[in-house]
Amino acid sequence: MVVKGSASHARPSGWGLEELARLRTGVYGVLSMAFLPPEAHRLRLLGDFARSLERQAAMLAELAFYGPWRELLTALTPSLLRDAHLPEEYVRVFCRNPDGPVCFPYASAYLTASGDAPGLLIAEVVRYYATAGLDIAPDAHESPDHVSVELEFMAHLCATEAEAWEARAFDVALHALGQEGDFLHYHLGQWLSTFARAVGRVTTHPLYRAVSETADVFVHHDRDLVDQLLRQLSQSASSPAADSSAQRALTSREV
Amino acid sequence: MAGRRPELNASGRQSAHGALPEVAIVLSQQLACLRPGLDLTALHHWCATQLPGVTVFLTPSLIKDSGTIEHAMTMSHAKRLVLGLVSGEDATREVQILARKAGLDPFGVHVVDLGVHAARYPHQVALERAKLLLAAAVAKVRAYPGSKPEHVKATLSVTKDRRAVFTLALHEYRTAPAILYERCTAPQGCRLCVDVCPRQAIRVTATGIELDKGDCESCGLCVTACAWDAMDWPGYSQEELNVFITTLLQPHLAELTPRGILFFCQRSAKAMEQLAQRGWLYPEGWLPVIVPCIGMLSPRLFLRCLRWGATGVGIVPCDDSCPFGQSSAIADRVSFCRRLLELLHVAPDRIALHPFTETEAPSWPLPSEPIRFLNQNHDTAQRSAHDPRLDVEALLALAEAHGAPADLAFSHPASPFGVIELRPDGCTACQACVSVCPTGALASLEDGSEVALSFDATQCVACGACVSRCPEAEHGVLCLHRTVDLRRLRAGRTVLCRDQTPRCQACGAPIAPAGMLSRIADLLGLEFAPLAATITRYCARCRGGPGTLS
Repeated sequence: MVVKGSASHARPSGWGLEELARLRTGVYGVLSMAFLPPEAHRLRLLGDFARSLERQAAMLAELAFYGPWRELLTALTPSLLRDAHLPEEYVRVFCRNPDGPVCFPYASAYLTASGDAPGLLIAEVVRYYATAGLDIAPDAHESPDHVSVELEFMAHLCATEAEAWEARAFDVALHALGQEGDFLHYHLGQWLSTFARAVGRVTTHPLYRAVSETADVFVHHDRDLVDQLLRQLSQSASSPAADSSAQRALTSREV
Repeated sequence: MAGRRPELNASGRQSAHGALPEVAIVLSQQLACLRPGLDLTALHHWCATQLPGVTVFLTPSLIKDSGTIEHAMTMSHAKRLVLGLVSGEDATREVQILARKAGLDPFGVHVVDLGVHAARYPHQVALERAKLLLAAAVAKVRAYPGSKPEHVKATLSVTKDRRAVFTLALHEYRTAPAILYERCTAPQGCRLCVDVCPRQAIRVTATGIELDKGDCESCGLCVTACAWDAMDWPGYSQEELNVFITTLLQPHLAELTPRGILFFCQRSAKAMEQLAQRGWLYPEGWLPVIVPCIGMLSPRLFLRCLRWGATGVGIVPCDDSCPFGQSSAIADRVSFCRRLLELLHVAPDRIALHPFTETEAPSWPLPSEPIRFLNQNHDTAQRSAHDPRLDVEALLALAEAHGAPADLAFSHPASPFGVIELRPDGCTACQACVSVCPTGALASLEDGSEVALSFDATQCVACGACVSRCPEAEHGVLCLHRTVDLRRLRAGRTVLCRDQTPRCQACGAPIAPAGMLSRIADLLGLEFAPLAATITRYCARCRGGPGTLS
């Protein structure tokens, strides 16, 4: 059997860090939305948002989470809007399940040591938000440690980073990157995988299977990526050819 | 892509073979252009007829025709992929992207460098070698367990660019081992992986250990060092390695005799690629097995290859500048194997180091006949990864077949066989050693009035976990001798020490071994004599709560 493919596969020369940060913003945004209650307008928005990222398909295919991401896109079909079982499944998996375990979408359900009050952890999360200049909206429906809120926070940090790279504000970009690293290392990365794998075990719905798998793979990937970026940027800063403002910004931060 | 599909000649088999995952093999047509070249028609026919559940595709160029993999996977409904390529064509990053687009786990794709290891040999030899290498790759990808996010590691670089100031270039993804915490005994004090890691990527934490992927260079030393199989590394697990080697040695798969197993590390495999481009090939009976670092291979595996039918085992190290500092450890392991073979009256050159020389083609000699064992058994290949007793059975069979002295005892620092020696007068029978022994070589038997510690040399893998855990080890109470002792191996399980278990004066239940109670009393001394008396007379339940002790 002879296979002849079509177009030749062009090797991209590399991406700007702002492009990467924009893409990550989008993925965090999609995941954040997907863990919220499945209301019709939200699902429609979710599908449009996810498909808009497909414009960057070449970049996505180079990243390790592309496989689950594609599964997620496949699950986001228009028929999903008409799926009457979806709200039921959301409640069964995340809120109340008389027949089995519930996967609570709150960090405090996974990170609070026995005997500690969940409020301590929530206060810690709020402090993370405050360091990025964010506050919890008075009319917010979800607790600050809800998975959607935490993923949205990551989307915000990535957006800040992208804008800063575009404006060549290295110190702001690095500060945002450092905040992303801290939040992923010390908070989100500590519990999301356990939560996502639990969801994968409990649900049979293609959307929640795909969302949980993508979230698990993506957050793992992002933690390593941010780590490596900080290491690499720190090496670039120490090279004699480094731009002086970049050098200043990098050396002022311990990476 | 859709427009090209009618061109396909559906000669591949799309068979359903029970539990075996379907596998697609994609072969580069450029293999036929090398001299003398590979008969791709014959190879295609052989794979399609002799390898169940396999569909074969030919492609002019995998990288230029970007839809090849996706198309092959769709056509074959396969879940696993083997690529037979010419060296230099296998750009890892591109293959990973293409595999991802085809919905595959890119780390489960096995690339066989047929350009170096088959196509440049004489026609018939090239074909037979290609058959074996592809069959082994198919068996390996079927054994591939799948990767998890924690195994994936990106290699990237950030460079300066006029357009965007900083530009990211993602080179490729690699896999790294991940800790299976449910198996890891680090919280009990085990540090086997920490001690062997040449990059200090495994660190001790308050609750156990953690692996820093950023520092890990994927040498695999920790995977072999862990006696609990708690280092999980898809692609390089013992099962996958075993199934690959045993398939290479299956006599019915190809007309190639004798066959030897040649271990390359990734660096020496690269060096071999350059030699092959100059037309310098190693002798045709050697079959290559490429691992990240040869330091991850145990001498047990070298000996097992002989049991599985290899007439020789060759080890091709990178050079003295091994980035993981394994040169002398590898030399020690080979020296152990050779000395052992010699003492068993077998020619030691069955296992040899084969370093490269820049000035001539490799002429590594391969013995023509396999070693005679009394009970050679290929079926046990899979089990042996986790059962050290099978290695001992083979060793004893070898000793018997070649008339080795019955009382042979031989010590060597690289021996993977061990004998535990225990001084009964110093042992408190606390059983800490038993609790950390990964193979069950050390065991305890309690019958209410007595506790007996026993040891079975056939199960000992000389990991030393027991010695590091023994609270009396510094007094020389428990010692590990890296020794092959045929008498001890034949003796099976023997009792090392026995101790009485005093009974509680209140309820009659056993308290603890007498040696342990006596040691506690010594530690408490005269100052706490009443407490010591309570502890040695009453069981934990009858001692009551804290109020009782005060």
